[in-house]
Amino acid sequence: MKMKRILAVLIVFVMVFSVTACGSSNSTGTEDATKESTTKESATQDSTADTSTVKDTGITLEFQQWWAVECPEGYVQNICDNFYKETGIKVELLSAPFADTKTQIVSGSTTGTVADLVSVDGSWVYDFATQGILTDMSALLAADGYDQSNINSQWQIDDTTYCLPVVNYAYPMFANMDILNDCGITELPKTWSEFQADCEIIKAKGYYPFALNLDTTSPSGIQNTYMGFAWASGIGIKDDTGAYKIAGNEGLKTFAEFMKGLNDAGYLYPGMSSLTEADMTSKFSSGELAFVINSMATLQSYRKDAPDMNIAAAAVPVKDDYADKSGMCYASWAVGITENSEHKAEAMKFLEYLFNADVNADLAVTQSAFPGSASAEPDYGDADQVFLDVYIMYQNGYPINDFICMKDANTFMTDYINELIPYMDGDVDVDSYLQNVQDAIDEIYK
Amino acid sequence: MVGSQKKSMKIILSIFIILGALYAGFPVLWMILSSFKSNVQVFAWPPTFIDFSFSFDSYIAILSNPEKVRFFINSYCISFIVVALTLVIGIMAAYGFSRFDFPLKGLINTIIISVQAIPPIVLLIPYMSLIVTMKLFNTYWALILTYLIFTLPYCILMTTGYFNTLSTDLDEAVRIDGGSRFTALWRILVPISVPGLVAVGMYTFMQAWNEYLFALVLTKTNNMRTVPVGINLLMGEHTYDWSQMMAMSFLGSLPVLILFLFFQRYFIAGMSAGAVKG
Amino acid sequence: MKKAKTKGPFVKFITPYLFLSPTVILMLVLLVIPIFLVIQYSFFNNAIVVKEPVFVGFSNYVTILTDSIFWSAIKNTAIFVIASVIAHITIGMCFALLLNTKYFKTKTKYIFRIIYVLPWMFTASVIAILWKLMLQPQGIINYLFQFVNLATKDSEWLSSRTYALAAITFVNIWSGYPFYMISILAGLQGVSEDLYESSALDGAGAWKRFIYITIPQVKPILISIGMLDIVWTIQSFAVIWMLTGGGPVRTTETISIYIYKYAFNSSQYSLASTAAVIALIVCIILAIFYVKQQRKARE
Repeated sequence: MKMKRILAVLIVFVMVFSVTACGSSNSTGTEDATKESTTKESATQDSTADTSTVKDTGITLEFQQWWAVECPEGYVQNICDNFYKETGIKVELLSAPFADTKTQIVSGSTTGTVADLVSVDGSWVYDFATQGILTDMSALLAADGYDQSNINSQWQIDDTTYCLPVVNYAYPMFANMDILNDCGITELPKTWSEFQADCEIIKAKGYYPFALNLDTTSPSGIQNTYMGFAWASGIGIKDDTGAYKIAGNEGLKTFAEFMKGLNDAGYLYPGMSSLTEADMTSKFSSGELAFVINSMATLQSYRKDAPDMNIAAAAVPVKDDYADKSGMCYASWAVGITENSEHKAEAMKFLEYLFNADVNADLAVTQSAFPGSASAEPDYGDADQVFLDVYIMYQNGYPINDFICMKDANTFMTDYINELIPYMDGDVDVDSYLQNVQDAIDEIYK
Repeated sequence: MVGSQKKSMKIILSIFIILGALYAGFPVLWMILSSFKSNVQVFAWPPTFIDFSFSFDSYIAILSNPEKVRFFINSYCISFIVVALTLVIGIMAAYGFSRFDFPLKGLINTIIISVQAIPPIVLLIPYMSLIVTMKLFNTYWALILTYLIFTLPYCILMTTGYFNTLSTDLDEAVRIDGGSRFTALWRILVPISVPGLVAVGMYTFMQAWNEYLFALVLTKTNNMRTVPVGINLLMGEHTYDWSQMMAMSFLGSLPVLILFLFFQRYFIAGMSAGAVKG
Repeated sequence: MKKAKTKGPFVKFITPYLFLSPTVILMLVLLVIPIFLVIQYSFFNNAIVVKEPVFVGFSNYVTILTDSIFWSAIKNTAIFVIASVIAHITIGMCFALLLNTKYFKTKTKYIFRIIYVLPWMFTASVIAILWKLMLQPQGIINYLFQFVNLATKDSEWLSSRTYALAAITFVNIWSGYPFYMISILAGLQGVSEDLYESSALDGAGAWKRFIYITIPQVKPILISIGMLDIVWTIQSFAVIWMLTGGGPVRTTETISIYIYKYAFNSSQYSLASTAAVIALIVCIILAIFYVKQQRKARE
């Protein structure tokens, strides 16, 4: 009997708790909903409340992105608010973790709930374009009469634009100068053999010289770090005609052997096949790694986590006899418009707003990125010296990333890693390794 | 003789229970310690246990952010409603399975178990279309219904197993006294089965509290997101906010621990069984 | 419900269904319909991706069943599931018994029950990052193992092709045993003291009491949760994905990772659905055995 009473009390308690809690939260939910519907239906009422001169259009665009999490709090929202003031079009930010944004977009577009604007990683573009998730942006740009010379680059598949990179991040090599000083290394390595020599000294001092992040949960390490290193010496996975040439590619072979040499000598951070980009960033901050190749965006977290560390930007070392321009890996925050969107023209307007000289420049400065807009003239006056050094390297070289707009890029990068690891471990020879990677890409493009 | 044997037994068991506690608790302890560290110290070698710059920064950062507090409120609401519904619906079904024989019993039972074998990732898109068609997208109900169908099978199986161990004489007695089947179930069987139901309730709560994939795709605005999504939002493109992630998971598990502490009384050996069978 | 007293034949027939109806309706609408769609996808080419997929019969099944990666995924899944379930039962049972002995004070048991249930409290992504942090080279595990010469600062677990599968299984065991422990503990509450006392009078030892009294008492619960655990572990995804992503070199690629890669890395939903249907068939067979066993137990 006693037990029953206790149970009854508990159930009531739980019910009451959840109902009150939900009551309060639901009311905020409906509040939001009503707010939305007022902007949608009774535009006049809202515009009187608004101090700006532009009339509310009653249109709300949704923007699926991961930027708001990366940028200073409220920064992206602020851009949207300013856009609203100018045009009367509302932009609602939908955030998802970077790693799951793809899942959210794919599932959203098959069920018709996807946002109007989506932020897209280079490795997703092909899939999204061919599945009809992204709309043909060339047509929108043409209809709008927008001056396309203001757009530095357009991501195209079969000559149709699907995405515009708003800002670009370079992938330079960062050096922990405290470690290098401790090792008596005064000059940053410029060539492979100098790099090897430095690694030897660093290792002897008990530090880890370099890291390769080959985790396959997000297989971007093969693109940013591994190929990023190769691109600096003009070595790539494509031949001059643009076809994928991996097997029998002399440059790649030398590079593969060079990397294996680093691994055999113990210069690479252990556990590379489960090392993620985030792990690598944290290890560099904690002062264990001498060199990393990582996104320019990580500089901010190094500064935040290890404010006393002396960091220098280094050019990625090149093959000893290489004298040409260096390619520098880049990644972008690109935006596409979805086929599902009912307000494509308005979405295009917002995208164009992101290419506005001031907006674009300010975003670039805030994020240690390079502008995607040709008219943007970012004022890097207060910028970190490391960033300015990279900016010079970036201008002296050329941006490259063969994986952007590639078909099934994630599958290929995973395959590439899965072939690379047995080679690094000495289970297969270099030629069969490259042949296996070639087979993987041929399978995708067959 | 017997006394000393008992003593040595106690010592042996004490060693085991402490070793077990280390296995179970050490990773969690490590997590709590990490939540007080800065990002760099999380990775320090040799690892530091207690950190001198012991800081509550990450806790303050979470609790002072209304958006993050909202994640917690959402998770509580959804989880509690799911627990209540699962128990009510599951207990009724378990009674049906335990006390009746009927033609479709085997088939229904097979379906309830095996439907769970489909990896959620494959179900995601058809399931999501269904939710969108039902106009439940981005609402609490989308998540409540989803978790309900995930947690019901365990509730039914566990409670059926529990009811099966209780003699049918009990409910017969009620019915002779003029009570309905309903009375027999709620007045007699349920109170006796409280330990089992506590286990089911805890399981259900944890399941609803911790689910990530559906919580991510079935909601889209931040005012509907749950704690696991909030935690994953701290995993940036290039960097993780380790200490906030740890703090957030610790904060999330606290209420469950408190509830469990409260419900523990039902695990005192022999209490319920003695009351019934004696 | 009140009409049950009249006990007409129709009422008698319908009563069990009334008790089951909420469950059955929920399952039918929310699970059976989507599963039916998944089965349908498995017979089409490029389902979801294109508007009008082509019916291809069993060719997806041929593709999957002749894929050597599928079979290695099956092998990994089998190892992962069998090791996890056995360890779950063993550890869950041991801990439940420990927490149920008369040798400790009630307060002590309170505290340890809380500690033992801790691994259950966390979402998959947290379990994954926590263990990743601990198992990394220079992590706390290597630090502690150094003292007993089991590891060095640089020892690899998750990134080693030899140990990765064992490591993810270990993590899965850690995060899953409290479920068994609590279920068994609940089951043990139903074991009457009288039963123990009467057998103690007969002079039965601890081991015999365990075999002849405890085990039969909790057996129905053990079988039920064992069954569910097998099904859950087969499709368990989040922790493995976030720990290793199926790597290094596919050594931890279980069936759920295999399916995920098809669905979201290469957008081959048809093939992903096909593999899922195969997993479903395996689980239906297991479920049929379970139901038969249940029926026998009742008779």
